[in-house]
Amino acid sequence: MTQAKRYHPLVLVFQLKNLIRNMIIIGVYLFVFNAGSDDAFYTYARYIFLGIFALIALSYVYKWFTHTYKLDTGAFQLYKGLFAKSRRTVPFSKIQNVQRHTSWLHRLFGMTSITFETNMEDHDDSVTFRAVPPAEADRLEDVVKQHEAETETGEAEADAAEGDAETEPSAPPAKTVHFRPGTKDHIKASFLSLSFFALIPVIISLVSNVDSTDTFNRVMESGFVSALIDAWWKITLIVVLFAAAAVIFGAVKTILQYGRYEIASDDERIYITKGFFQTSSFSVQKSRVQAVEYRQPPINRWLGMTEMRLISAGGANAAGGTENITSLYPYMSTARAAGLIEEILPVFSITDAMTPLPRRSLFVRLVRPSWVWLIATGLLFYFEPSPFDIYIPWWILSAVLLVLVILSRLLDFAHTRYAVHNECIQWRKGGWTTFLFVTKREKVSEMTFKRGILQKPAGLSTMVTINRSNPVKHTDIDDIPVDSARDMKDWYSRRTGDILTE
Amino acid sequence: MESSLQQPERRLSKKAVRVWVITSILEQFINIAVLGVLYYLDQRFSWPDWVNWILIGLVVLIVLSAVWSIFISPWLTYRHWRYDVNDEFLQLKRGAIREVHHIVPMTKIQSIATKQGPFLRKYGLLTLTIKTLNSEHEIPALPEDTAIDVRNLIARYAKIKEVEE
Repeated sequence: MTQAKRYHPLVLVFQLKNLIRNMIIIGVYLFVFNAGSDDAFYTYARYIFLGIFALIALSYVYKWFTHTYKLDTGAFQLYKGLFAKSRRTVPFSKIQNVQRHTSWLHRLFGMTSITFETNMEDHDDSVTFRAVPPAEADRLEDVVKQHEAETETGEAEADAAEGDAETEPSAPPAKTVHFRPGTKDHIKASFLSLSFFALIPVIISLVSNVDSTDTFNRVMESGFVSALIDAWWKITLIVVLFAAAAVIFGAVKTILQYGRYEIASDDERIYITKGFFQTSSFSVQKSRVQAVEYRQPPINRWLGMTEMRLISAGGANAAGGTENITSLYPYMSTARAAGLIEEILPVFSITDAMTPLPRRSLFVRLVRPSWVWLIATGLLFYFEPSPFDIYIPWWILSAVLLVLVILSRLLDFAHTRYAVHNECIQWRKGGWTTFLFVTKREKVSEMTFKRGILQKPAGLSTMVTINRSNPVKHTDIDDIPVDSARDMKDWYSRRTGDILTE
Repeated sequence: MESSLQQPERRLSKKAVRVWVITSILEQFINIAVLGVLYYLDQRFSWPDWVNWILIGLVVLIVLSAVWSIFISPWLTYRHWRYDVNDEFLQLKRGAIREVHHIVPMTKIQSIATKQGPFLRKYGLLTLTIKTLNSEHEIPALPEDTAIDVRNLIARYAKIKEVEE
């Protein structure tokens, strides 16, 4: 592959699709809603709209002609420009993760899209192929993987990773599938997906309809009891039907999203695949995972479920896909999640022996002024809103908010725990939704300790870790004792022993 | 295990206080000048009453900030600023009211630059700007030769890069 290639011509189709998607609202507004309008404004606007559309579409064609790519030893070479040419080199060693997304349109053409995410200093740094035949995508991914494997084993880069189409990658190491949701998981997910709740207002409005008109008339006409029973029968039927519809709706949605969900890994990498018709996949080298984050919204916590997220240094959104695939199956039981991390990323294993905060932290937290409450109270006092035409004095709303703030702080205090074990540091925090964050010493690229005016006399400190991610990930824990902060500093100072230097 | 992290001890140049005082005074002069122009316009074109009140509020603010930034802040900043460099870490610690302590591994430092405004130059001082992939830090107002030494030291230690994974 010494010759630089153009991207696949079907790229144009996908760009056109995106363009249409972005401009369709304006288009419909101009051409459908105001179709009959002879107003000069709309006439000109239509021409301008068409002009812009054509220009952008043409620019895509121009780009297709002038943009080419090539794989050489250890890097992507991306060329562009007709007269002023530019070349961008993206070394394979900078690639943080690989994402694939196959939309229904890709499926129609037998194509897929693939993105190689990097974390280089310049902004426009990922390598995206909007449309490639799956075989070509496999080949690209293999070349990158091959390179990783070879640099890993310490072979000279020069003679390795030629990246030729002819070089068949050595037999890929066996993948182990760690997690595939079963029927039980699907059922749980269907009940939990929020679409279920979206139907509640519909039910309420229907019920109140039945109640107000029908029942009322009947009560007037015939016997009270029979009418009530009649109405209740109807109401029950409607509720049951809607509950069934909601669950089916949720189930279909879940199956479309998580139907073929799979978490797999081999020695080197972690693979996540999801989607039924539209599929997305994500793969990251294990050693490039920066941190693991567990998130538990209240409902999930009550049901013992956890959402897990792998933090890696590259960007996290697949081309054209809005779904964030770095978050693992969100309806996994907490025990299963912990076990899974044990299997795929043993270095990030979590310990249960965590230290809670001392009582003086709670005191400091309760005393600390709540800006949200102060500002909200100011606004309430000034505007005296009456939502839904119900008059509530402003100070009652303010008091309710204060109670919520205090409750959230109490919960946060009760949830907050931290531990430093071996090379890992982990902590949990959060009031309503809790987060548990685990990272390794070598992945923490900087640490900051802060002591505010309230924390100093109480002997407390705030700790912040900075991890490489996109955007840079700052994670903090408030109000830990200074002694623990000192231990963390010492722990961090032994970092030098963990890292390899070039 | 022996910790390689001592509390940072090195301090900024004492002359920094003078530079900060001078720059603060200058800033306050500019503020007063702007306010003066506004007051003149207010009188000249008889602006509505509430403008007057805002101007009075601004005067109070300027007086308070002048007291803080000329008579208090420079000394406090100098008293509490510490930094240190060893072959493994750069440490920066500052803040009288809110103490902030940064620990930056040498291997993560990407670039280091010196900076000198007219007042710093007059007193023979330099400001160091240290950049990592994820953050940017400053050591303000070091004596020129110390600054150069520290810069060279960091440059030497930071030359070693860790294998990025």
